[in-house]
Amino acid sequence: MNARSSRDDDARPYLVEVRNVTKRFPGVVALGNASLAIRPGEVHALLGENGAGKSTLIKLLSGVYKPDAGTILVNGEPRNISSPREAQGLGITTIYQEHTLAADLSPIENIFLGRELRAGRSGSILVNRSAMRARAQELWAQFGGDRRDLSRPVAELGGLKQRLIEIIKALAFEATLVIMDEPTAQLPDDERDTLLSHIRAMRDRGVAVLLVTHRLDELAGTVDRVTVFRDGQWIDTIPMAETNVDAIIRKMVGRDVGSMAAAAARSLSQSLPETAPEVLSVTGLSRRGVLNNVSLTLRAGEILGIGGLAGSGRTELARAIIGADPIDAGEIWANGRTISPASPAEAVRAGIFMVPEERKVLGIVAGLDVARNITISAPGKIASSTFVQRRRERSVAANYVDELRIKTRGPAEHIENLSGGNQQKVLFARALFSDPNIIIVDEPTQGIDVGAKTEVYRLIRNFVAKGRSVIVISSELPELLGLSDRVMVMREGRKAGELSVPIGAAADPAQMAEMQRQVMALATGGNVGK
Amino acid sequence: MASKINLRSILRIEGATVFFALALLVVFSSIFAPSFLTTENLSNVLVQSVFVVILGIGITYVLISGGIDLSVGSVMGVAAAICVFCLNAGAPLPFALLAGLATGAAAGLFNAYFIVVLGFADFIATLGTLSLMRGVVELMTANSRLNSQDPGFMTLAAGSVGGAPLAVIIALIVALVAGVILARTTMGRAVYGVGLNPKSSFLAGVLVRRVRFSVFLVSGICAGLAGILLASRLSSVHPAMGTGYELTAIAAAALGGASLAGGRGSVLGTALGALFLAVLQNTLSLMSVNAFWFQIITGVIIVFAVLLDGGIRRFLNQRSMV
Repeated sequence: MNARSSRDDDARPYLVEVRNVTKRFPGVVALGNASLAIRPGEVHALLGENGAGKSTLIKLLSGVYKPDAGTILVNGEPRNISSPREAQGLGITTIYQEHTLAADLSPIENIFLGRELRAGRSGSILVNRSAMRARAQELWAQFGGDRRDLSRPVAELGGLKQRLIEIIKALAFEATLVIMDEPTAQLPDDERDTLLSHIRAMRDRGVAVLLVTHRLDELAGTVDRVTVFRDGQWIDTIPMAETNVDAIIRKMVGRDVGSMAAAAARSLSQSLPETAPEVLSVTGLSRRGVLNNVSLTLRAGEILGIGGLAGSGRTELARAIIGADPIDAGEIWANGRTISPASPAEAVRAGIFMVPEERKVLGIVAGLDVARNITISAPGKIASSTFVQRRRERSVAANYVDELRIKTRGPAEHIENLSGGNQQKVLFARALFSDPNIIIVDEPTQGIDVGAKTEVYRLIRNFVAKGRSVIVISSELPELLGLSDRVMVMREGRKAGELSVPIGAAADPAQMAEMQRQVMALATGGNVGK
Repeated sequence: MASKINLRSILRIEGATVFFALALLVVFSSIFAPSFLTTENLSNVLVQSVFVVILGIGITYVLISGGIDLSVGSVMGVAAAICVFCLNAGAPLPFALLAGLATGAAAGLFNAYFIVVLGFADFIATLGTLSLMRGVVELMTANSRLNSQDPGFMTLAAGSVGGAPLAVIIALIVALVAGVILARTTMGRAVYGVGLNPKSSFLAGVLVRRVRFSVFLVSGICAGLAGILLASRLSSVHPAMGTGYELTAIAAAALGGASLAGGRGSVLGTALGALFLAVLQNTLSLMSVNAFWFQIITGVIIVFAVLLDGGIRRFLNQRSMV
């Protein structure tokens, strides 16, 4: 596969070229035979769904990972980029999504952190403060910044200025390619426009930018060319002038969508009866800067999907419902009464349980055995008056191990020894043990293999088959559409729209592809129509 | 193979490592310190150990929850001072004892308030309490030592029931209750969950704040009780009373398998750890070793014990992965 598209008639040599690179991790091929070519002084967008391999590619270019196969060329010469410092030496600097500035230091100190300019001869141990200040001021002026900002702690500057400081940090060391991972995430619209104009100005001064973004509405006008990745594979590289957002979305999601969706699909022969009672109703939920007037309803026996990009407020919505985060406004009604849970413990009592995302960080309690990981959600149920009945706990856990087909040597095995899929099943058992009638699952199949995914889908379907309800949050569109009766899409803390999934849609690849396109369009602020 | 499995299951028992270390030390002491194995000396060692045992049990709760409490030594001193002060003011003994315990509880709540409600780092908040409480003890004992010859009060540390020292019986009861609460009640088990992963425990429905509050309360009450017993033993309170005990108690907990990162530890382990330190000190003094050596040897043993403990756990994990 060659990144030089047929439409590519520019004869200039590439600044950075990735040729047929493969990167594997235990159990997954993150990048398979991937290619990418960046010209000097262009803004190049790298696009793809979660898991498409964008982050892996960035980390290869910035020296965090080493490729298993393939070559990376810088100015036409093959290079081994084995550390971020080496990448910087070659003119490639990466600005990660997570802020990497030291909040208590000034911009000047941040820009030169670990690479301070020396006074006098090289090898001197003294830093040259005035030289650093002059260089920072010169660059800051290019961005129209106020020089007084350079002496204040970074924490006192706003999101936009912090982004710009990171860019300057890259430029201070003669970067010819600046890689930016979601630079506009969390910026309000006006600041985003300012940042994009600075990116264009940078390009006009000859610096190339590789932009990773999920906000497709910001491509037009800023980006020169786009490259689309899907499932670790290069799909296409197109000049932005020759394409549009809808066509790009189609390339991003247009895989063999039938299989995963079908695996996730419920074998429903008829739709939910109109008479199915509401079990959860959320009205006007708001949390400043995170959630803006979100409402939803959930009926008995229903699976509601919540789609949207990472950071769109999906997880925050779930956390607000179960009382893990405080809310500023809004009402939650569940199982016949208004509730205002101040902690997940209260949500458990109201019959709502959340299986969180990031299994290892927020889910399992490593160091405890399988049994105790299950019973932690309702320890009262295995205690008689005062004392925990270990025998009862073991037998409860053994039942779940059988019923959910959890592969473990027994309830006494430490949970960290289980595979990801089996850990996820234990977390499901934990949810079931608290006997909720609503379970919220956040990215339920994150990082688990296909077989385990099917098992997780089966658990979700069995749960609703008993007339209970599930909210599924997922970045995997086939999974989301396959499981859900309805899909609500979030964007920037708001509800962007809602789609109902017709019976049998999951079995129809064309219909699935079209629905995925619609979800992506809602999630990215594109156009829903054709 | 069978013997290996046996070794593993034995090592898995809480406090097994420190138990073997203690047994080895007792054998050593019996051989090299001739007067070690006398009833009088053994009884003396046990009574010497109860203060650190009780203090360490409170600290163990805090350590398992993932926190630290540096204030307990000073809290000991304040609780003792309040108790003796009440006695000297003519209060009946039960009232004085309750006042001492309440002082410990209040100090625990004070720590918990700053740490859990106001969000202070536990290290800093309890360091503040350490200094503050030490100042109070010094103020209360500035002009004269607080002495008490109250016979009932002195019985606490000096009395015996059926030949067993009363103080040791009190420590045993505390250990039993604290141990059962920690291992067998839902609250006790929540302490481990909070120490191992507070975020996932919270999302699973554990009342994390309540747990963190409780452990500092327990630690304060234990410190109060240890202070009362020490005052009874000395029949007085002096300005520096309890100084440095917090570190000895943490050392005892660490020897007993508690992790400063949270999630690991047991009452039995800590009690054995405290006993180990008491026997060590006793042996060295019987052998007329300079007291400074006790500090050095203790330091070496703690480092060695932590290394050994880590090695044993790696061994256990390695075997269980197969």
